Amino acid sequence: MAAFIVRRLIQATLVMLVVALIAFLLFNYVGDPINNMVGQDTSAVEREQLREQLGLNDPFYIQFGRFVEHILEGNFGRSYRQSRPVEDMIADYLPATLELAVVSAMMALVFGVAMGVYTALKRYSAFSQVLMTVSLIGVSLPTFLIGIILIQIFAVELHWLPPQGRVGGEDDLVHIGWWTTGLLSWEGWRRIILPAITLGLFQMTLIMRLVRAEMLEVLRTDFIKFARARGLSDRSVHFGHALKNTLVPVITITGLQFGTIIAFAIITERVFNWPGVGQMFLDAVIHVDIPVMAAYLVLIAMVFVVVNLVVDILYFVVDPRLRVERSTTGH
Amino acid sequence: MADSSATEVDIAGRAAPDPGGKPPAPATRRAGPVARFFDGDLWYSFKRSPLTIVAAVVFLIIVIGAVFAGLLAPHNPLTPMTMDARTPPFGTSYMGNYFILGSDNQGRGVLSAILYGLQISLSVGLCSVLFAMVLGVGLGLLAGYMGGWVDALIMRIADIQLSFPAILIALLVDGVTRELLGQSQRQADLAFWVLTFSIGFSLWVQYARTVRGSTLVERNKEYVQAARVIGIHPLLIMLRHVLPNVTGPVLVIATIGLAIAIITEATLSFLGVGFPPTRPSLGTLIQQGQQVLGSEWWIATFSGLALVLLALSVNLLGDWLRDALNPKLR
Repeated sequence: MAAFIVRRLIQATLVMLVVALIAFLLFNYVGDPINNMVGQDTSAVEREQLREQLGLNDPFYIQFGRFVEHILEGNFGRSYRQSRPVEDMIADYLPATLELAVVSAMMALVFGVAMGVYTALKRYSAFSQVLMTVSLIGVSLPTFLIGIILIQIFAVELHWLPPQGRVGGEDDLVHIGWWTTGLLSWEGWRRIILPAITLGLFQMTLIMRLVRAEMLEVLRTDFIKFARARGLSDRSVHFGHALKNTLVPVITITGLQFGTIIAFAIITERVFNWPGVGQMFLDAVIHVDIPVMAAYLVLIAMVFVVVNLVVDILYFVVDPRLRVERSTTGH
Repeated sequence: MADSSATEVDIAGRAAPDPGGKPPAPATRRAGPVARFFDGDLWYSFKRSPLTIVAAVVFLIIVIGAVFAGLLAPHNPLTPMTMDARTPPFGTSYMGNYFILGSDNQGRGVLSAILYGLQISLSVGLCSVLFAMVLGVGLGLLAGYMGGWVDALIMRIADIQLSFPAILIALLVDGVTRELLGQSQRQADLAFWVLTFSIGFSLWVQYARTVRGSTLVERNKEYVQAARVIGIHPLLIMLRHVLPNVTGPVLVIATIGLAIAIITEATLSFLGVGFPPTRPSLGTLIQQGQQVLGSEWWIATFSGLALVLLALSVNLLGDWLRDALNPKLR
């Protein structure tokens, strides 16, 4: 298992290097970094000085090496638009996105698994049919449309929940070190519900369909028949044996989907005016703020790589068969 | 019946042509993917699924509406009159113009704008899927057939890209392309191609992975070996002999990809990085309509409905196609 994890770590490092290379290419060759830093009235001589100073005349590999070094130090350069360090911006915006992503992932996982199990066990019940149809519509609805509809129903018409924003007032936000959380106040929770549903709906339907398909598959196997023959209760067969065997693909998909959730947060954050890294990135794309775009890219890659690693390790925890196979084949 | 028909399709899908021979005549079971699409079994499963028929009808209506938007649209959304603005559905404006689905704050008829918007959605969708397909199938074929470092390089790139969701790639490519083109009037004119390129580029990986997989199987078969032995150029072997045998699943991916492409275009336009507000794309229509949802509800509602109907019908057709061609998923 250690060898396996080491191999994955090497792969992860390679992925990060490639992403860093793309970010670097963006940074250096899309638009002129100097033009973006200085004003119109800077002379050509001064520009050349700045170019030399920033090391933009150095060979490619030296520049790239420096770029990676800076990333490792957590230095992503300065935003062209806001002219403040990008890492400070990320520190400001990241907590909002992560809280939103984690809440919606949890919601998608809990409801998705529950609905998946239900539709698999009560395959022909009317409610299952309704769930399956609704899930198909849910997949076809663009995220931004879901958000608009939810705002219209629950905020504008029913006045149950606030339509926009992360907090009502400054008091709703609690600072813990550099982290700010809205989840310690009632208002914060009220405000995260709609965006979390919007963001997690697609993943929820995905998990539901996956759990259903896997359950149906497992319920057909011999060992389930054998478990029934042994006189185990339905409850034990369904949850102890069947559901447990669907967990590996569910973990994989949930893990892989976490990256997607972060990306779709761009749309959700725009619709709900949620102050997260997604909005930061979108503004960067609209105004072609390359350092912010590059930093976001590296950040997302890092989240993805870490999640993937965690998923791989979870396999061993969840599925004892993998442990046996690996140890006997000497991996 | 359902099972037996499925098996036939399956066998037909896996059957290899005679070694070294020409592809068999389309009259036999071992037809190419296009002929198989119109195969009796597929038609049979189509007839048996009411939901699919409804989806096909809706899709057809949308396609006709979009293609003939110039003829069918009661008003030209590109030359709006401000005097026509904010007419409710089934209402008549000060100018005496009648609007079935109302008009927006620029005076564009919502129905006309939607028809033109569907045209944009469909053309961007189709073009980007086509682009993704050509790129993905080409690279997949190359990777699977050549193997070695070519394979490793292409598939590692694919792996890395797959870690990023399509919408993110599309946003990134969109931003970079717009910067490279420079901020100018040309940008509005080039919006179509920028969008097609960004969306298409974000979708090629699936084709490449699928085609590579089947190519790996095909390249060791006798007919390919025979072709190699008689000295046919590798490129020709790939295109003429391997390609027809690996395109089966491509159609399914393309159908589902079309729905994703359409939604992505609407999303990008909604986010303000797609079409400029003057072009009636469904995304920009919804974005504008959302701001006045309280008073002029009809703009966002009807354009949203059009988008959902389009995406849903394509998704349903894709689902049916996938199930009909792959009995394992039943």
